[in-house]
Amino acid sequence: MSASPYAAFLNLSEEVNADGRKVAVLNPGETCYAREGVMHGGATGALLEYAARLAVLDALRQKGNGEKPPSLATVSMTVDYLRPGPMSPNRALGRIVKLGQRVAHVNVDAWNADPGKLFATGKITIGIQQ
Amino acid sequence: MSADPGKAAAAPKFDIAESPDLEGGLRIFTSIGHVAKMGLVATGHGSGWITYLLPWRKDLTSDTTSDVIDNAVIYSTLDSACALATWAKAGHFRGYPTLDFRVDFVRRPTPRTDLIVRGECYALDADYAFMRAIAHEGDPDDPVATGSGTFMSFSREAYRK
Repeated sequence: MSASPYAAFLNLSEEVNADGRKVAVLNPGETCYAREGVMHGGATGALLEYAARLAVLDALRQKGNGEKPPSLATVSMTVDYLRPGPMSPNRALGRIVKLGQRVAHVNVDAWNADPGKLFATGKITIGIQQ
Repeated sequence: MSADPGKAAAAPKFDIAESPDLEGGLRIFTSIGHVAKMGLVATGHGSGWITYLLPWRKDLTSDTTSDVIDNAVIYSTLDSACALATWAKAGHFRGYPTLDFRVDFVRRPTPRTDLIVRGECYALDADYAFMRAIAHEGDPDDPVATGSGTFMSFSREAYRK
């Protein structure tokens, strides 16, 4: 996914995990800082939304979507904050709940060092224009 | 970049506990880290609400051609506007981090346009604060996005004195 200016502002990037799925990575600096050792909840939201978009683009690609890259627009998102997001590399993975023609429902989990210890989880609805 | 950027600037946070000085709090809050870097400007406050201006900026956009503010920026400004609305509601500072937050992206923002964001705390007690927020471009009846969420106090015991 081509990085948006805001993704660059936050220092968001992506990597591929052992299962071949795209994981969003946020290596937080001052643009993500809230208080000592803690990332701003808005940056957490951005990380989750980014991961959801990666998951939708991957799913569309696997489905054999046409040559033209689809245009995605987030319709709504809800984030549960489970614990403070640390000021060190954080990751998030989106899982497609349903991929429809016009909309995708995605669940996203975010963690720091331990994928089993989440600091945020969210559900994100993304509109698709093919 | 240091491991914990903005650490020195964040120090005043611990001096504002129970402070009634919301104007001072807004100044501090908008001078630290994420909120400062996004350029949020505190523009007003009243009983249970505060407003921010988010000046449009190229580095806050979602792509290099449309010049539209990114949805994640809007999510964050709505969340930020709610964070200090508890202060406006209670009349003094209490830390209420976000427990959950939902945003509906009602329409596409106008390119190169500033956003006005209002966060409101409509109820709070020692444990929870309940919020709603709106982002618009000048007409609150034509919102770009709306938000709602629950915030939870750092510690119940601290507020029982």
